[in-house]
Amino acid sequence: MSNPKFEITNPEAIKLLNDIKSGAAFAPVKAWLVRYKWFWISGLMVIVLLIFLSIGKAISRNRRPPVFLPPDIGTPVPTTGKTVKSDYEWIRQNIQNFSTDLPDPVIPPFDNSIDLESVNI
Amino acid sequence: MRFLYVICLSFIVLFFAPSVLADAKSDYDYQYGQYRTGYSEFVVLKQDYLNTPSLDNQQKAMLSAKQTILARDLAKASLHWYLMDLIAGYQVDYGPIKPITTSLNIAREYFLAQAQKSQSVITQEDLKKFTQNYQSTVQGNDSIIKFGIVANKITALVRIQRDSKTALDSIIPKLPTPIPASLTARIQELKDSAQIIDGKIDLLANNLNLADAVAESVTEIFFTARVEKLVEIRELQLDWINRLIDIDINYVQPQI
Repeated sequence: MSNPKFEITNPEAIKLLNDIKSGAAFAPVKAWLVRYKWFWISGLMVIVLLIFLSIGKAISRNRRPPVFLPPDIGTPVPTTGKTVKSDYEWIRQNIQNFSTDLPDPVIPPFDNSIDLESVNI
Repeated sequence: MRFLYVICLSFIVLFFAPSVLADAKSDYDYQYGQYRTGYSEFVVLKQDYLNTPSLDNQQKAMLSAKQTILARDLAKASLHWYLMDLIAGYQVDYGPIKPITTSLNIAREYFLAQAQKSQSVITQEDLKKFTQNYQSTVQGNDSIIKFGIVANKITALVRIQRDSKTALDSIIPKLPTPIPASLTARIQELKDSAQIIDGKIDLLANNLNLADAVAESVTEIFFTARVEKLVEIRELQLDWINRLIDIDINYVQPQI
């Protein structure tokens, strides 16, 4: 079995390969990383923080403390039945409504000395 | 045809009568309202006359005085009628109160007569004489109203006593036979208590001394002393009816 062999003849591809091998191709990226290192470091830290927060949230959701509820005792039913009423309740009502206030009706003030003499005014 | 016309007219009168005829309370409210309005006007006009004693001011004050006197005595007559109406409303035939209702009616007629008499006043001298005469006779008639107010309360208590007695009389035949001894004792207690309450009401009514009405009505304790008695009787009546209702519920009413 013959082993196929590829030979790169394109000068641009050869140049690119040489740049990759020598590390010249990464020089602009390396320069950008160095220049904005605090931006991407802090961005990275924020992302890591968010990831940890979401992980913590997921864990806490799965481990909620159990809620203890009282057993269902059903709806309370009023125990009062029909009350026996007397036929003479109206007399009691009349007595309760009876006002002992006096004078009732109130006697209004009347002037018994209506004349045109100056002493009466 | 004429007979039919009379019948139709009677129906119309009967239909509209309640709305046309004023009751005692509304009549009193109206008359007293007239007096209050007239009196405040009279005070102003009299002051005008005293400050400036012109003939014109005198005439105005005289007219106002006559109107105010008319309104005053009609208001007093209405108040007496209102009280008589309240007492009659209880539909109680109670002897000790009769002299008071009679006096209320006499006083009412007196005030109506005074209202009519006041319209014959023409001069200032007439007015002076009228008022002097009025003041010498009005006290006795004015004092009756206080007695009427107490009589109204007494009549209400008597009405309650009558209703309570009727209730007891109607319960007894409904009780289970033979009546248990304890229940018999309770009914006897009710009868005895009713007599005691009757006695207290009679005492209160008989203490209304009409013969010395003027002197008695001006005392400060005229009402306060009687309020105490009314409260006491009311409490006794309430206790009495509570005991009767207890018997009714436990022995007469069907148990559920």
